Amino acid sequence: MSAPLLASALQDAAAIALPGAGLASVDAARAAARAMLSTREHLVDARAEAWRYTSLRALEAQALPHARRGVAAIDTACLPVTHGARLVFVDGCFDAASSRLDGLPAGVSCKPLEALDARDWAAHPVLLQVASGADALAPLNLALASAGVLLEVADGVHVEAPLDVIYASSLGMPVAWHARSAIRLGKGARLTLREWHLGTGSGLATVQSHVRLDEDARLDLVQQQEAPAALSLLRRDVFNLAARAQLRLHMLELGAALSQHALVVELGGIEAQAELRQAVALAHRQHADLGLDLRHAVGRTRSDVRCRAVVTGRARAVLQGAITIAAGADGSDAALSTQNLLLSDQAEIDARPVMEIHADEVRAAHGASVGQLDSAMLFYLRARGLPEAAARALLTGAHCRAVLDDIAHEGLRAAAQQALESCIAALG
Amino acid sequence: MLKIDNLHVHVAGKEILKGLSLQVNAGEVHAIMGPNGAGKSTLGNVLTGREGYEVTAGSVQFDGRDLLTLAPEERAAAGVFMAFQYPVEIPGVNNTYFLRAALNAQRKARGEAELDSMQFLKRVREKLKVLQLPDALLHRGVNEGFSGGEKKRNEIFQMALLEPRLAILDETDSGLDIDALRQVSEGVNAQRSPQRAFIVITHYQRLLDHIRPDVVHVLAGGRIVASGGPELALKLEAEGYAGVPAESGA
Repeated sequence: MSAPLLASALQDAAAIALPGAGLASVDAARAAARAMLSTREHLVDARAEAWRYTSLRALEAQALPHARRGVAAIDTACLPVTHGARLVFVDGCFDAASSRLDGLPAGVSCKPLEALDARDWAAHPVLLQVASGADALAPLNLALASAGVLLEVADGVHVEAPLDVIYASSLGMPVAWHARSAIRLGKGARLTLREWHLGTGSGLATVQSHVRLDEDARLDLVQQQEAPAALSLLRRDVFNLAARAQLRLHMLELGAALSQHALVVELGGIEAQAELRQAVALAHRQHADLGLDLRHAVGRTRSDVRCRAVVTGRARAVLQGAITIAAGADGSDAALSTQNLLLSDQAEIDARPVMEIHADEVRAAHGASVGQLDSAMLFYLRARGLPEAAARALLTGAHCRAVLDDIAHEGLRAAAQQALESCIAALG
Repeated sequence: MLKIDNLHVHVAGKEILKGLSLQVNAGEVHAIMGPNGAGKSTLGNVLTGREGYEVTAGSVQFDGRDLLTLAPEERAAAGVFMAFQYPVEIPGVNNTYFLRAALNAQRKARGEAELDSMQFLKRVREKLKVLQLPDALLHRGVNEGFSGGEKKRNEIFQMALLEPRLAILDETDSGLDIDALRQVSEGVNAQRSPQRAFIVITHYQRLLDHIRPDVVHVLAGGRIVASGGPELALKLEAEGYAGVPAESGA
């Protein structure tokens, strides 16, 4: 007996016209995903280590209908300031009127899923693949993905203006929607990208992306998660980095009732490097879980992960951060740190940094701390005249802001900092 | 301006100040000297309202108000400032942002108009010049990565900016080289006025060569045991604290 969420998803998957329908390869892949889904009773295996701190039982007990095109609507005036091209998806449907795709430089191809042709689907098999043995989230996402983007930057192309992919939720009634993306940066290509979750809706969203960075490519990615307070957002991002490729990822976790983010980073070429930064601010009963699986597959690769969380009310922030340095990956350099502030007695932080090292000549460091605001700092600010509440907000903001300071694009950095400030001011 | 009467203070269950009395009038500079562990820093901390300092007896009046009932920020707004012995580093809190927020919070509490950024920056530039601090310090985190000397100069810069009525300098000379000591002293001297008073807590006479006090007190065993003019500091420098009577009264 499958959970109501899965049962309703299977019904919708058979009935809804999705991007690429009618293309044999797409139909076959979706049929396989539906078949896989039909054998599952639950969204995930609750006994699996990855789901140790996050339960989806309440979520999967809801029979959420898939969002339908035409029902969704968003006031474009409500959309945030963007600096370049943007794709807007509202409740899982591409919103052409709110999107801007003109002005992209030559060598950049950016299409919503619904605009893909047979050649696109064939050229990007990751869009139609589900890893064997994966939980039900992967086939669910493949079987029902109506949103998402195929983004390609050709060799050597530098995209100056940041590109935005906005996922907005708008419906009053709880719905489910799913997005699936493939991104590829060619050799020496450069791109700044922001994935922005916002809106006022509720229900479930799953977002899965596969990102490939070829040799010497550099991706600056900001994931600004300000999803609506009643939404459950389940994300999985896989990054593959070739030699000397660079990933600079800033994750801002502010919204959603439940946010689970599985992040897989494979440093597959020498001198590939990943800098990951996460700022989390949660209140009430919010729950955010980052499961990091970062692999140094070859030598002379570098990773630097820094997470800062501030949690109040009865909220809970989870970091399960695993860095693996494979046998033979000598000369690798890995660092993982998580620093957390607990602002209330009932808030909870679960931090589990893990390093698994199979090579001999490596540098690896990890650290985790959980504490409260520093009383000496608090007193210093108050002794200069700041009221206690203002001093607390200033210190709390500073704690998280530190990991946003190195967002390279000024406009994106300012927007992220502003979102964080507003969120922290509301924490009280 | 400040009247401390028979002040008894416990820290972690141990009595540190044991009946301290002191009166400081507007325009005066009082130096407080004394051996290690005498309670000098405790006095500064209790006047500024730090947690963990329990007043068990006595009173502190500041401009006629009971200072001990006020929160630290209320004391700051009333005009009490302490230049810390060990200024804490606060990464991520921009120095300029913090100073403007602090100044405007004080002004607001006093019912004065807040300064806009242009007014604030004009004031900042004037004061920076006096302390010979580089502009770059303004853009860093509060005290973050500052040298010992920069931290102390930054404290005096804050004092200049906030224009308190009573400034307590807690071993501001410690860790300073001769040039930094002179700069800090010049910064302090530039702020001397008939409306403002200073309590200068120090171990050494050398600071008092630059900041000439009106009154020198010796704090020992939790009380003021001797008071006199600047010559008392010279005597202490020559003879040490051993020559000071245990109970000569203030």
